[in-house]
Amino acid sequence: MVEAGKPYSKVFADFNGVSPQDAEYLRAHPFGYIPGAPYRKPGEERFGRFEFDKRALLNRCDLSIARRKEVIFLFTLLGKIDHFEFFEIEATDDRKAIKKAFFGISRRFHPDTFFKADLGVYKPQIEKIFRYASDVYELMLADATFRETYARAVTARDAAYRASLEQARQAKQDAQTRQAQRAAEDRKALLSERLTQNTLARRARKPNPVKEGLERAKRYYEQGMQMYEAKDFVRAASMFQLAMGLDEANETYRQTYERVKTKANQTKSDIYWGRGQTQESIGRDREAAVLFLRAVEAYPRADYCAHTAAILLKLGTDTHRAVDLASLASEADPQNIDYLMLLGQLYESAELYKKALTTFERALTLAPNDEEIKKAIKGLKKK
Amino acid sequence: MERIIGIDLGTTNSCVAIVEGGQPTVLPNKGGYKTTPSVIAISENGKRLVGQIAKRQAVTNATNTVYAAKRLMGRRWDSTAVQTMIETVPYSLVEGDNEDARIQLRNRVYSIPEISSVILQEMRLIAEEYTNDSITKAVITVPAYFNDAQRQATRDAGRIAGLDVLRIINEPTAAALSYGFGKEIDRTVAVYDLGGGTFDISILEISNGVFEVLATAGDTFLGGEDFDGRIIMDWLVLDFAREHRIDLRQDKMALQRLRDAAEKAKCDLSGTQQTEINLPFIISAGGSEALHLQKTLTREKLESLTIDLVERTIKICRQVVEEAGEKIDDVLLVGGMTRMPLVQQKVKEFFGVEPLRGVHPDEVVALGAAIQGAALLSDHQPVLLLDVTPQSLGIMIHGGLFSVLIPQNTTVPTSKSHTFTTVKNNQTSVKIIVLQGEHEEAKKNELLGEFILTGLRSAPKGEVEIEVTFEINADGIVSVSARDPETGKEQAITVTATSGLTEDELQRMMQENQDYLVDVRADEALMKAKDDVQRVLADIGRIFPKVQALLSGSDFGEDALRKAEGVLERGRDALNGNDLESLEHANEALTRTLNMFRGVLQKIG
Ligand SMILES: Nc1ncnc2c1ncn2[C@@H]1O[C@H](COP(=O)(O)OP(=O)(O)O)[C@@H](O)[C@H]1O
Ligand SMILES: [Mg+2]
Repeated sequence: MVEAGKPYSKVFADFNGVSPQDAEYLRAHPFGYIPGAPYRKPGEERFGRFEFDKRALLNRCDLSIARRKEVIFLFTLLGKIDHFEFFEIEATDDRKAIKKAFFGISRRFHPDTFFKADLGVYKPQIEKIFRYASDVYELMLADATFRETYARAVTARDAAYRASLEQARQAKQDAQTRQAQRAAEDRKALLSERLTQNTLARRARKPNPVKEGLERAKRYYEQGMQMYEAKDFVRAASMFQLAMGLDEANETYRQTYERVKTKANQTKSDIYWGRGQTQESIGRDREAAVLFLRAVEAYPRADYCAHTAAILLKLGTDTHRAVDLASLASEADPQNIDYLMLLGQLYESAELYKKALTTFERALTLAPNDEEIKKAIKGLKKK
Repeated sequence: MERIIGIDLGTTNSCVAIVEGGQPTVLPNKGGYKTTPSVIAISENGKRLVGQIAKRQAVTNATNTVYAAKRLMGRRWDSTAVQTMIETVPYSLVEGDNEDARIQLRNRVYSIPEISSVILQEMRLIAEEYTNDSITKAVITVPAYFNDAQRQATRDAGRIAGLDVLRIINEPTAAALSYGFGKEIDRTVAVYDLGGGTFDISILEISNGVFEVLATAGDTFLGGEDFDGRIIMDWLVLDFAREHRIDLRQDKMALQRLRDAAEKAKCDLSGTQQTEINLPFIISAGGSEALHLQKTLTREKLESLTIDLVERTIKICRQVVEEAGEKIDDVLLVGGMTRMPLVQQKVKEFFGVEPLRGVHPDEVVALGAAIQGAALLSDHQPVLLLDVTPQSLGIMIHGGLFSVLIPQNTTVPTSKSHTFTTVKNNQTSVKIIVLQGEHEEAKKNELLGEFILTGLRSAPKGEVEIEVTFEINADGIVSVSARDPETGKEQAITVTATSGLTEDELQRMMQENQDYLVDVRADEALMKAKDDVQRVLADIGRIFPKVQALLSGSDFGEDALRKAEGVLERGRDALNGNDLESLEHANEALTRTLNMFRGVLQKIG
């Protein structure tokens, strides 16, 4: 004999919720038994909480494991679950549905279905299931009074069951609400207590702004050092600047700031420069010029200055700024003929012809054979 | 794959089918017909004749020709069925050892299952011929009203014929099966079966490949023969008597000829409006003068002669439809008689739907049986039959009353237990009488069996309990067992209704049938060998003179001719004897001689 799954617990009395007359009729009737609660809880799948004994499932036979499960399940619960649950239909379903369900059971449990198969230990169980099903089916079809009474009883039982579930749920919810309220009150009490304590503590403590400022400066400095090590010069510089502001007397802060500032500016300059180049590459010279100017403001690299001057010359705007930048470049690299030529041209466009001439001539002394310089001088002299 | 045949063992005609490549097919007999008359006869030389041959010789051999044996299946000698048959059939019925009816043919007595087994065997041989394979498994159909004894008798007939009967199923269910097979339908179907001797009506529900019988009824003495009877008695005999003042019924031979002619006329009229009945020399009018019978029967006349018979079937239909309480979606016509236009018309009128006639009415039952057989042996059952008990099962209780334990129309398989108590003080044994039927009075039901339960505890009356379990399996076959719940002692008494044959008898009959088959097969082999020898002899005889002319003269030729004469001589001798081996030798030698002669003609001639 196959061992049954866990017996399902009985919380509800048999015929729970069924009217006394119906219960009396059904108790006296074969197949009239109604368990106190449905086997499956709402939302539970076919086998509900049924636990299959692994060994029982492994008995040798021709049935698939799924079929064995079905057999063990139905056989174990035969007469312990109501007929509607057995047939997997609703109490409100009509004769036709009962018939259909029985046909389904027949297809799965009629002996002809297993004519060739070796059913092993499941054979008597299958036979019993089919016989039970056909007895119930015939009774349900033939005896309208029984069917109606039974359906009414199961409906009442289900209603009672649902009501008790609802009641239990409500009770649980109430308990939860109460608990939540209590917790909130506790929290509030705790909070106000802490507040009073904090106030008391604050009052007891003497304020010392200087000390606090120095401490903050130190914290900024330390953060700045971390950023510096991570080569994040821009943010490191601003940290040091903050530290410096809070502790003006501190030399270390100031020197570190100075040291990092250049690096930070270079980085900033490179970033602007890169963005400027991107703009220039798509022909947006005006936008490029703005970015290039920011770059050279941050850090005046000679080549950046010259390039910015050249683009300003090309655009014909801000000539004075351009002259400044070109001179800056030329000062930084006095031997650079290109820079001198650029400066000269800028002077020329600013109608500072004399300055332009001197600049070209200086270029010529550096490259006496340069045809371009000569041409520039000749052009200038005409003016 | 294992082959299984489906057999419709009819009162009038039988039919065999098989499922081949998923398709059910009816198998034709040697004559090319799809149905075989359920007639067997023993010829003068003791040979068994089956089917058409047996039917044809019935006129001259009436007392040794059995038809409608199905009516006697599983019947007790004293039953009304048997007593009525005694008066109406030309063959002689005798009482058997087990209160059953048996048939005497020539000098041997046959049980009814034996007679039926001859037909079943013929069906098996048809299938073996067709499949070129040996067949050992079958599903056989029986009328829905057949009780346990009748089913058991049918099963025994199968066993005698060397068949393992996997299942006995009801004819209407089988018909519905062949109609619903392979269709995805959800319908309520009426099966109207009018055969040669019986009428059956059943209502079935088909859904999802499951076939369930809702209600069934019929008349076991209403069929084609009654239609024939009307033609004979109410018309042919009457008119003849009026004209010649002679009662044709007095002459058995004439009556048999009338029967055949009437049936033929009836069948013809299903296709034409009128037909001739022509029976020369039907009877002698005294002296040397003979009278002839020549008449024209119209369809109209036939219908007026038989309309009340058709109406009777409709009345039964009405009762059954009411009992089933379902709307009928389809009507299926089964049985040869439903070919009659009047029957079709009345059925259509009553049910209000066009009856289904897509399939041959006399083949559907066998097809259904074959489908069920194939389904049983297949891995994924395409169809499932939910058959019901044909009759209520119960026991005799105090006062000679019948107490029903398993009511009629209960889905099988089923089992019911019942607890009995002792009725006398210190009663140590109890007799349990198992009955089948619908009568309140126990003795008016069919007795299935009785057994005595012994070894009960000695106690005051009513204190000892006996739990008796009645079981009906998927075949509708009943068994009963008893147990003492107090001691847990299973008395393991199982009563199975008998067909009137004991197991020993059954075994003997199976053996005899085997022997008979072997004899028949040997006979056939002998006949074939003789045919062969005769043919070669004839071939040689035809060219012998020519060869003789060519060969004579030379020494060599003369010698060859002498040798050939010897071979011919031996061949003729073998032909006179009955020895298979010498016939085969002769055949071989003769064939060599024939080939030699042919060679001579080709080279020289
Ligand atoms: N074409 C036909 N028209 C009318 N009756 C027919 C026709 N063919 C056969 N029958 C009759 O049908 C009966 C046989 O039916 P069948 O179904 O074979 O019988 P059963 O099931 O009793 O063996 C016979 O009475 C026969 O005369
Ligand atoms: Mg029939």
